[in-house]
Amino acid sequence: MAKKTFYIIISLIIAGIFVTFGIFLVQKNATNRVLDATLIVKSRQPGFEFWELLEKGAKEGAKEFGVNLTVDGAMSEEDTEGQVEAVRKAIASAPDMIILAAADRDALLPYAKEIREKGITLIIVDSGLSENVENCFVGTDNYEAAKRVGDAMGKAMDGKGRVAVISHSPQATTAQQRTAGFMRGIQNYPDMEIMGTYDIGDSTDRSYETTSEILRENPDITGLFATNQISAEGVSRAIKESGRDDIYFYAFDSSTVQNEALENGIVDGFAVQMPFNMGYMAVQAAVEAYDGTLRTTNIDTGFAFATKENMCEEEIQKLIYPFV
Amino acid sequence: MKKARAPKRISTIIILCFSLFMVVILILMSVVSYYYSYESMRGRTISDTEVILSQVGKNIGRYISNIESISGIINTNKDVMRYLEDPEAEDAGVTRANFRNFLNYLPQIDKNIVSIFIFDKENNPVYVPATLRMKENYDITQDEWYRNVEDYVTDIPTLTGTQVRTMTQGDNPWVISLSRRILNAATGEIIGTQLVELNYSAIDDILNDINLGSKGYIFIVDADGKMVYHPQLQLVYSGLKTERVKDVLGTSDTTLELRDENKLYNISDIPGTDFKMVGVTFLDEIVASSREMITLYIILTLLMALAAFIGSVQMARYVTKPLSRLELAVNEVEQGNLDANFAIRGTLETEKFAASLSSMISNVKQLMEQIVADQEMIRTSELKALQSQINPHFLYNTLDTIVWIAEESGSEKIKEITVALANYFRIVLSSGKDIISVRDEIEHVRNYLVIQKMRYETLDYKIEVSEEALALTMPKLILQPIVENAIYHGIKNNPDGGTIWVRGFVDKETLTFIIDDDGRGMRPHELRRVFEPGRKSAVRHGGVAMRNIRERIELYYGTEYGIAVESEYRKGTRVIVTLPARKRTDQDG
Repeated sequence: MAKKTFYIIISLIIAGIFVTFGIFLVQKNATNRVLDATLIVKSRQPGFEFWELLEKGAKEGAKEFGVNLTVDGAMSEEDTEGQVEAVRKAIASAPDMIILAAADRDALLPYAKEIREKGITLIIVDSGLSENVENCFVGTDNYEAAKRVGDAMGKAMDGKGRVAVISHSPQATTAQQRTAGFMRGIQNYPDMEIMGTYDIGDSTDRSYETTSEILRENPDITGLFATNQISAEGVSRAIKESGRDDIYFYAFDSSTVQNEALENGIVDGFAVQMPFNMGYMAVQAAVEAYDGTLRTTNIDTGFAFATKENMCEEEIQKLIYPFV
Repeated sequence: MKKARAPKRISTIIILCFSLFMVVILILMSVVSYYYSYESMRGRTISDTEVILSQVGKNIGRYISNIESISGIINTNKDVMRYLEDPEAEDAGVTRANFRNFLNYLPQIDKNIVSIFIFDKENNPVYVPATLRMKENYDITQDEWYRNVEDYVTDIPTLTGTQVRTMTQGDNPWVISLSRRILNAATGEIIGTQLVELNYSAIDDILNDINLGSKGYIFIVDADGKMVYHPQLQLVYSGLKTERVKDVLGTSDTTLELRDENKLYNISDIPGTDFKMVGVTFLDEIVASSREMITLYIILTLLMALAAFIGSVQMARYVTKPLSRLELAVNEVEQGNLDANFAIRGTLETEKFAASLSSMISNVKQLMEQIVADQEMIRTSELKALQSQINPHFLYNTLDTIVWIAEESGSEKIKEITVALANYFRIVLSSGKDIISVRDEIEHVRNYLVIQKMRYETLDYKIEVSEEALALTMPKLILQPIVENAIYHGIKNNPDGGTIWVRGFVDKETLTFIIDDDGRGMRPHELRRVFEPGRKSAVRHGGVAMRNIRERIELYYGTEYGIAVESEYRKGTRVIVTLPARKRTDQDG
């Protein structure tokens, strides 16, 4: 046989050996891959169960998908500067992916763009940016959830009354979307009036003080809506201290304080988000986006509506009493 | 139409066969190794998991029975019993303080107990851990742990799977609880209920470190299908993870293969409980490790293929190289070289074959040489046979006697013819010498003609041979048969007789004889047959003689010399003989 053919076949077999060996190594390494990810939350304030759970979920996801997760963020949702600093630090450490909950929809945008330009996978969790520059958004459909709350409130109040909105930092998309959704829900009841939206930043105390003042100055007010856990806890305290039991109070997010308030009738209902799922799914989405297998740009993590009536049901219990 | 079968090279066949063989082996090995490694790993995984599960089951069972015995101690505590029997008793304050101290102390000696609660028969809390505060007016009958023992009249302990404890203020953990009725030792009447909450992390400690493969884990469900323990309970609760609890409760098998989820469930009961423990292993891990094995097998097979391929090529070469050298040698033979080299080294078969061929060809060579020699022999022996049949001395003596008698009786003619005959035979029978002088040959012809002239009186002849020609040599008995033909076929039957001219001359290197007769001549078709091999008609026309003469000349001198015949019917015949002009040498004898 021709020498040439001989060498071609020999090299083909040797190539086969190398390819198979390569496949073997890839097979071995596929399970050993570790990706670096940084999760930047809005608030690391102790007792802010929402972010604690989100972090927990993200860690669970990191464990499952082989991700080395670093968690960073400012101590307060209001501290945009602090979050920008955390993002800068994250970019400098050049991880494979960054999961960000934006404290300010505009202030964080250039950094988000920078993250994408550097080729880092960007997942936005919970709170978005004013432009969709991320690979994927993972979070609650806040507008829809708040609309449902507004509708429930309108129904409970027989479509009459004055309502105030106690909102956390207005720079966060969550606050804006929830306020807007809530108002849309209330609009179904033409006899209801929204007397104002009050920004309490990221402080339960400020929420408490603001609510107490509103209740003092507006005795005719019968409805209150709080946009997150921090604001809601302040409102609960204010209502309890005011001793008024004619106030219809609806809110977002559960916590130990809020659960008790629900049991005691201070809160009439709240939308329960799934922060644990959010964290977990954000990491999952990040890995999928990194691998290029992610087929969506928006993952709705869903919500539930907890009331005093359904809070004994196991499904709701599972959501409002976080498993620690 | 059938496709023509193209012959293939041996090396191609060997290598093709080998390649086919290798491919078959590769596929077979992959399939078999995949199947067997998968099956054996699956079996091993199952048995490993079973061992681990039974060990873990024992540990959990021990843990639970430990808790049960502690709850038994509580149930038989005299202070607890006395207080529950009669809370209004005088010393109730003292007994209460006593068992409070005791119960506060218990979680400290056993870390597996998180908290203990005791309720009286009206379900009012009698004992609550110091760090916890009951919610006001909390109705424990809505709690599952209570409902599980509500109908009991005995003090059998009951485990309730993970649920949230909602009866305390501010602190609502997920716990596994053991609840138990407290009975009056004497009457057996229910006097209260106790609740012992198990440390979830204790179970977590037992189970979390268990490795079933690199991804496998264990979960526990209770008889109602409620998840008691799961390493990712939060994910299960939030619906991100699901386990096929219904299938687990529904089956009596110890293994459950969930192909679509790539999971393998190993199910076992936890002794002393109605909990089922499920070990989850991942089929893709088994697949992955059997894949790893297959890739290893393939690498091995490929390595073998490489070696075998090189080997087969070498083998093919070893077989075919001598064969193609043989082919070359045979080609040479085909071209006419009978001395081609057949000394070929190779396999036994080829060497034998080459040797056979070689001896065959040398046989052929020998035979060919033999044929040449034989032909020559035949020519000479024809002559010699003729010579040997006559005893020359007897003949000569007789002829001498005839000459003597003729002389005595004065018959000149008899004497003349007898002398001519004697001379004629002297040439014919001159044994040993094939090459004689032209002079002798011509003399021979003359003697022959003398004799024939006696017989046919109408025959006339002329012999004109140059002196130069007479001095040369030539094979004997060339001219005489030609003259004989001329007489028998040309002149004999011609009533007017005829003349024969025999002329000889030398032109450059060629000695030419021209024998003419003016006899009958030949028709063209007769002329064409002159040189044809022996047939009756040919004999009649002297064919045998002519052919014989031509062959003899060619044998001696090659094909550029020979004999030519021209004839015209009723005019005569001319025969031209050409020979090389050769002088007598010693070799001619």
